[in-house]
Amino acid sequence: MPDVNMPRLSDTMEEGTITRWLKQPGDKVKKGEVVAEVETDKANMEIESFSAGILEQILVVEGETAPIGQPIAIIGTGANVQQAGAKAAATPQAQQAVAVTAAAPEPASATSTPAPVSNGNQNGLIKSSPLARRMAEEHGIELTQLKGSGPGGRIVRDDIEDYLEQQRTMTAPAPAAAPTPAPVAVPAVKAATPTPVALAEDDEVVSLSSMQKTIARRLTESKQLVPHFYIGNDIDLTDALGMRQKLNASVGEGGVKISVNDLIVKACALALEKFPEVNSSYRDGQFILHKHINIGIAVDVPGGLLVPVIRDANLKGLRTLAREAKALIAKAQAGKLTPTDLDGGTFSISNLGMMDVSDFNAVINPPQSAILAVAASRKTFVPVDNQPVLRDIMHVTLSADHRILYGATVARYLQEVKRLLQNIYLLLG
Amino acid sequence: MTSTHYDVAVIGAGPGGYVAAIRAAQQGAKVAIVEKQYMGGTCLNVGCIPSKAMLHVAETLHQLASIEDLGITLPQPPVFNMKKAVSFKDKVVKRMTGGVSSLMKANNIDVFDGLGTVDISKTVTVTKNGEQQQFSADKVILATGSVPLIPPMPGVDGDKIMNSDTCWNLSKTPESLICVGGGVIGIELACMFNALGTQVTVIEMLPNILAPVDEEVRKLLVRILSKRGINIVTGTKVESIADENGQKKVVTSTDKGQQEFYGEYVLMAVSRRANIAGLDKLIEQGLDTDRGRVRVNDKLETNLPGIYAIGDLIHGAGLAHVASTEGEIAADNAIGHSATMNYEVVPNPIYTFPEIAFVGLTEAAAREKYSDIRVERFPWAAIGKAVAIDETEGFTKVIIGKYGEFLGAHIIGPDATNLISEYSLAMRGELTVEEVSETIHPHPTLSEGLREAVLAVEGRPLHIGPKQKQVARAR
Repeated sequence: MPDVNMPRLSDTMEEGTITRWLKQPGDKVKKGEVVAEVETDKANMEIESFSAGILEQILVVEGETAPIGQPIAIIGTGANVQQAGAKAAATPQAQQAVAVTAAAPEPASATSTPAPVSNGNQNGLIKSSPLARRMAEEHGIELTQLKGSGPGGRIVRDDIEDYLEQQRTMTAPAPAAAPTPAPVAVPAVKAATPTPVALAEDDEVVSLSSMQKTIARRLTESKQLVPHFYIGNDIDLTDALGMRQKLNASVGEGGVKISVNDLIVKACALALEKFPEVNSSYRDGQFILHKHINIGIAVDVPGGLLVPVIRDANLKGLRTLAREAKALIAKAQAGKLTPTDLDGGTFSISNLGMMDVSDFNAVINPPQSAILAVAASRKTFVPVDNQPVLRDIMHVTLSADHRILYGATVARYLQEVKRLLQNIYLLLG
Repeated sequence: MTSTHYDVAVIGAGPGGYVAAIRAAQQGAKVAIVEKQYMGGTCLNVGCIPSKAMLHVAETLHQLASIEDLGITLPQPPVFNMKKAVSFKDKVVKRMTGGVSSLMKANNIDVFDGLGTVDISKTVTVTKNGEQQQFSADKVILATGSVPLIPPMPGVDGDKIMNSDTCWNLSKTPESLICVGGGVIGIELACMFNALGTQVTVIEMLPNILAPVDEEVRKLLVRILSKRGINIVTGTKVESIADENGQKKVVTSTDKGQQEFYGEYVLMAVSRRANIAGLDKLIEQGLDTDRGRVRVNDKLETNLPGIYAIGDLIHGAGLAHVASTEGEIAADNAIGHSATMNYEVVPNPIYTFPEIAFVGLTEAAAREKYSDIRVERFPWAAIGKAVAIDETEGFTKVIIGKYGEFLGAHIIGPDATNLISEYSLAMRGELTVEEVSETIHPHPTLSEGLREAVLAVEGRPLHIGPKQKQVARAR
């Protein structure tokens, strides 16, 4: 009876794609055992079973996507164990066959809407809390549509709230959609695309991964909703590069080397202490100032982009920053970031310096209000006492949310970043 | 007996640590626990348990003041012997800590006596009187608790200055006492000493004592304590402590200027800080801390793999029962489950006379968070059992959300700390007012008051008239 549901693995997750089943129908499953791997908008994660028993049926096959809360497999326990277990034991072949047919691409299309799997409602009783029932009544929700996350599959307040939230996000982009809750989120997303691109015969169509879908949605939202403005500055990195070389020369085998980006993270974080308004979010007519300074660093990963977060970067020394950044980048590239690694950023840095970029503008990562785009540092002749001197000059551009931030503030913030990087010992404080 | 490798090592045998050890051992893990001072930690030795024993003594003495009304005549004032009371308290503590030791034995948990230090490789070194023992563990649960925070100020290390660790073994009742800090610990101790016959002054820096308590409840308590002779001074900062004419002199400041208070003893009850003795090495190796406490995620994992932290060592309520729950969760995770902490429903007991207990949001917090709430109260004066035991001060107050759910509940009155569990259960089980009002509550008991408060939300309290209800509201 208990099902394995698509869990909410991060704050922004709405759906997940099954990448691999580690258990097959007929297999024994222990509580807490990993049954499947799933790709979410942010990371590849594992799904653990909340109950023990025998995996009876896989409802969402590899490569398919399911919204959070939807059952993806059924595990037999209690009174059903014997029956289900016996069935599985008696006809493992048949069970396998079912799974294989289900894996065929066709039946997954929107026409064959998977019937909501009946959980406890064969006997007319649904495990649910009184509060969940009251809320469901108020909002006209059929409890049979929901899967409970409480003890023993009990439907609790969180499940109703998740469902309402899911309804809201699903209907928002396509208000014309029928009020009946579509159990499959994918068609709704497709329907929301305003003008389909005309396809030429030799065009190749590649489906977006869930991470790419999330990037597409969030960045569209950002560019459409957040009035960006951009302020640039040139920063003389000569001294910073010199110090970095000295610091790294003494680090020895196995030590963590400090990158230019680590210096920039530290400088941005310290400058945010001085300009707390830049470390902020806009929310429904409110200006939210964040206490913690958590810096997101954009990391290039195969098929997308991830922004893991270094928490309290202003409080950490350069070595700690470097160690954490290195670990996060490695995790990002290995697809092993956890939602905790990705949540809570208050400011981001996108550095394309290593690709010899001379200048670029980054898109703000909501709900943050600013992002710094870092270009390459180049040997440039600059006038010092009216004489041309060769210095390492790096161009940076800050994108900021004009709903809450204004030109002068952002310009002064950037000046402070510049002052810190040009007086590099200040970063050691 | 002892081994060199364990599945789980727990550092600290307080209510967080020993519970974690039992939970891990119950599920088959080989467990070691290290304790530097006393089994049961602060809770059993200098916290919850001894304070409740002494509060019991104080409360009994307090009740004797009005015993004439019950037709019993005793010499007034009754003769009180502090030394005997302390030895009663010691017996209680001994029995409880002995209980923890036998629980460890019964669960085959190896107990190491000494200061445990841990490094990133999860090697635990136990030091006792200069001798060292070492063992390794797959998982480590840090549960080193907290110690009283003594703020630096002139004279704070002087004579006759106690804190919540050191105030339990007095040979006689102090004449007078100045309690620095009006938080839960300060007010409980102030209440206790007052009942034992000490003239008590409480000095609190914030505008109110008992900051986390619902305003209405707090106001009633302040009125009761003031009536009883406890001098409560708020919005006042202690600057220094000195000796003058054989008394302690406490110099304070407010916006209006300086003031001096005199007393036989000073009790420092400002706050507590995490006890990080033994964690220096881990912190040096990168253990993530935040304002003096260890940082963890909702699985209670620190940033170092395989190392967990619980209880007062991490940020949170600083309550023994929260530490114990965290111990259970950390132990489950340490042996391979995936459990997360839920802090939504944490009951808070406060052992004043009368007692206070609350769970969930205060009225002010609920109003800030929700636009649609209902708040009702029911006075103990209208409950038969409360009248019969002559404890009619106070009320039960419930804060109900738009679906009839419990957002918060606050009780001030007899046995509040026991009664609150009904509301905790209602909140955790997501019951609404209906389930509570439809439940038969036994008569004559105090629990009837809990149902009456809920009936009041439904507009139909039984044992109070519409006019009286107005009075109850105005309190």
